[in-house]
Amino acid sequence: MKNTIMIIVAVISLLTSCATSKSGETSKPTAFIQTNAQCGDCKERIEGVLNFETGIIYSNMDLDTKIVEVKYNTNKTSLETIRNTIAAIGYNADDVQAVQSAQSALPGCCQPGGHD
Amino acid sequence: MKNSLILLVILLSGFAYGQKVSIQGTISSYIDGKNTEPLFGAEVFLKNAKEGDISDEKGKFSIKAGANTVDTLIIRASGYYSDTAIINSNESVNLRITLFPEFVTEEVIIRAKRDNSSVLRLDPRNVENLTQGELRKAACCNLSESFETNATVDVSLADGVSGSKRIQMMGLNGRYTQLQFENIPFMHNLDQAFGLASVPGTWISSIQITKGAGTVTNGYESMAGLINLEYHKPDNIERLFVNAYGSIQGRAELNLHGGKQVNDKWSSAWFVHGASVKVENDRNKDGFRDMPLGDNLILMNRWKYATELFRGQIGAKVSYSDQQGGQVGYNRYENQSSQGLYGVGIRNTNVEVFGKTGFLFKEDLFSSIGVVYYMKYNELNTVFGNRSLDATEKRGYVNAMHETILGNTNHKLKSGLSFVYDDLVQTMEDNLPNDTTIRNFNRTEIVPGVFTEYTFTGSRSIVVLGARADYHNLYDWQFTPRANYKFDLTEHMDIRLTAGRGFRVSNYVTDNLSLMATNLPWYVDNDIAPEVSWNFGASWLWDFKLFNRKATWTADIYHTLFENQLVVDRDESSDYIRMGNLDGESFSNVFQTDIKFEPLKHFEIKAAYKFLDVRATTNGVLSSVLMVPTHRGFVNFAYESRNHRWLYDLTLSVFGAQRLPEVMRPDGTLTTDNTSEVVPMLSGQITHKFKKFEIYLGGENLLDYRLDNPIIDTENPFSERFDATRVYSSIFGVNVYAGFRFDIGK
Repeated sequence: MKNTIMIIVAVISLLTSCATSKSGETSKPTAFIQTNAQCGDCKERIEGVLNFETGIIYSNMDLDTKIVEVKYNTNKTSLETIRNTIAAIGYNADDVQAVQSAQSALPGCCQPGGHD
Repeated sequence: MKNSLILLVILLSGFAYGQKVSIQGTISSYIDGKNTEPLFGAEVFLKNAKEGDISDEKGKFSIKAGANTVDTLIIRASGYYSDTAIINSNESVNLRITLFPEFVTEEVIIRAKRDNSSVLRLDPRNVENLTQGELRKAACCNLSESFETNATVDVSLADGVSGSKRIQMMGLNGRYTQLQFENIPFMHNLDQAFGLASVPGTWISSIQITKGAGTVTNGYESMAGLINLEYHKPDNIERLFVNAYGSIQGRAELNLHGGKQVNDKWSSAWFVHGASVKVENDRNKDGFRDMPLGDNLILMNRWKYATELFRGQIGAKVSYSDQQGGQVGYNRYENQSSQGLYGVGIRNTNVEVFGKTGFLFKEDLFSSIGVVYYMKYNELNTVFGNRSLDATEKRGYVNAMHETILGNTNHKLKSGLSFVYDDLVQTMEDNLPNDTTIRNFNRTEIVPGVFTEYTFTGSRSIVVLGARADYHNLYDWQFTPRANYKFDLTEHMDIRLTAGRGFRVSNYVTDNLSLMATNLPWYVDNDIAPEVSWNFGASWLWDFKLFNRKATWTADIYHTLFENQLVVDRDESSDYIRMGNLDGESFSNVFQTDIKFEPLKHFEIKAAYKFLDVRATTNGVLSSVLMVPTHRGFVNFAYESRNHRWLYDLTLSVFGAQRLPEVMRPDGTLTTDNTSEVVPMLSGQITHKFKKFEIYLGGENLLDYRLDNPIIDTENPFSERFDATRVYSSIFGVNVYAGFRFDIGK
């Protein structure tokens, strides 16, 4: 039983260490981008795309402030590219306006005013 | 639903003008505590004024009516709990209404991705819901393996040679749990033993486990509980999904499904599952395969038709499975006398056709009629050494249910008629050293039934009273009453009570198929009566904050008492197995507690403990039922990386000591180790997601726990003392698997 616990502890610490070892490098800043996301669906859409983009380490949308937190690698992508990616999904990103065709392809609830 | 469950905010109270009332607002669908989304297509109307509207894609509606008395506004949408609001006359209002989905609404379950398993808070019964996310934690393979990360349902090997798994709920064999797909009961008789393998895991979108007697509307057979599974629906399915799986056991599997919306009314989906085990494994060198070789092919096609007032579904499923276990080198389809090997062959062919039709009414928006049809043809050909069973079953089932409200939505009434036809032809042939018997067990059941279920929803409580009466052609009238009560102690804590009767016509052959894996003769008493049980239970649920994140703690206790049971008695003698009616007491008492919390963001811990006291009278003495552990524990750690691209899962299950049958060894001595060891089972899985596909790598039984010599007298498998029924854990040990999933979105 003791061995069992040891193994569990070992495996967990291994798993968590892989997952957190990437923090703390200067070439990997965190950006906060203001969007016009409104609902859980929007959050999923934006995170679902950003998390799989080259150079993005993780993204997290806060629906209360509509600000998406993006940690990225400056060698592989840029803030401008990330803003354009969000715009291409159909949302405003800071001063970059949403791509109109993508915005109108979103479901009704995610369109501007969809929750008014 | 009652006003307390709706979020009804009067934003603007207008002024009165003349005789007109103007009502407008938005309707949203509840997603989780924080999020809602606009609900399109909800019907909103004034009951007396008979004016109404349907919400647009932004959830908006508006109604103008010449009402001059108090009226009731009714809000209804398919798949949601209906709601009402009282509208005073001479007022213009703007409403914001949130509708709560019913538990089988797959759209909602899929949205709630982060909560893979949960107790359904709104349901009056104790229902645990498992989603695809939970099912993917243990990637293998079919329904019997879907409960690996769940403590309510226990899965174990049925015997040492057939490779089939059996489930237990409340320490009672899976036959006392009613199984149904999309509210259609299935897995009767011939499917009882091996049918779980005919439901591939990737086809399932969610599973609901109800503890205690389930609803009366689907029959009288749920005694310990009810498991409902939902396949993917044609109108909500990936265009294409591909999953491949391989393990070091030599199991290879391919799962495909896909579907599309054909036009605005029709949608269709198709499913394919192929699996094969071609590698012989014998790690403990006892000359027996650790798991059978075999091939499985399962296909399904289903269609859905939906218009405003009519919904229809039809589908067909075909499954073929051929397993061969037993001694290394055995081949069922070659000359047996020249091989001279003990073999286990299981061939199961099953064709199922099912349909559903639902009618809604324009004038009476709260009523509906639903008719369900199910037909199956099942053929089972089984060989265990010198014992064989050949059986066919034809089954037909129709259930027509009318659903309506009494006055308002606080009072709901379901009532209907059902009809079961089941024709069973079984021939079991034993050529044992001490017994040569041919048993013909044929039976035709014809059971018309009538049922009704009333649900009262109060502000803090829900009461469900149900009863059904069935006229069984062999066992006369059966009356099945059941009741459920749910009470909200606080907003975050509720209790549930349940009581009900269960009835089941046993089938001593298929109920005990795993006992063919011994050469002891069966002595079956005459006049086997149907099984009758009473189940009583209480459960408690608390949603609270721990580490500033959501946590849930549940505890429940259930008592199942058998009035009659088909008791398998292995205590009377070690020379035979007796099967007969219960003479004395038989019961199960189970206490279970579960906790789920997130100590760190994205890191979830689930833990459960279960105490089981399951006893039955065998050989005149009330003793513990064989192969049921007294203690059962379980802990699952799940971590998801911040970008959701890595998923880690680790599960430790512990099964306490179980009583084993005392059998005679070939040298004439009785076994002395009649209590099993405590079995730890550790499994883990890592999943990595890419844009369009994901890969996973996992291991089962990572502590490599295995039984060395669980089969008695492997040297002489045709002798009178051969016995492979004392297997309570893995023979194979560590298993490692890997696979990928690929999908093209909806």
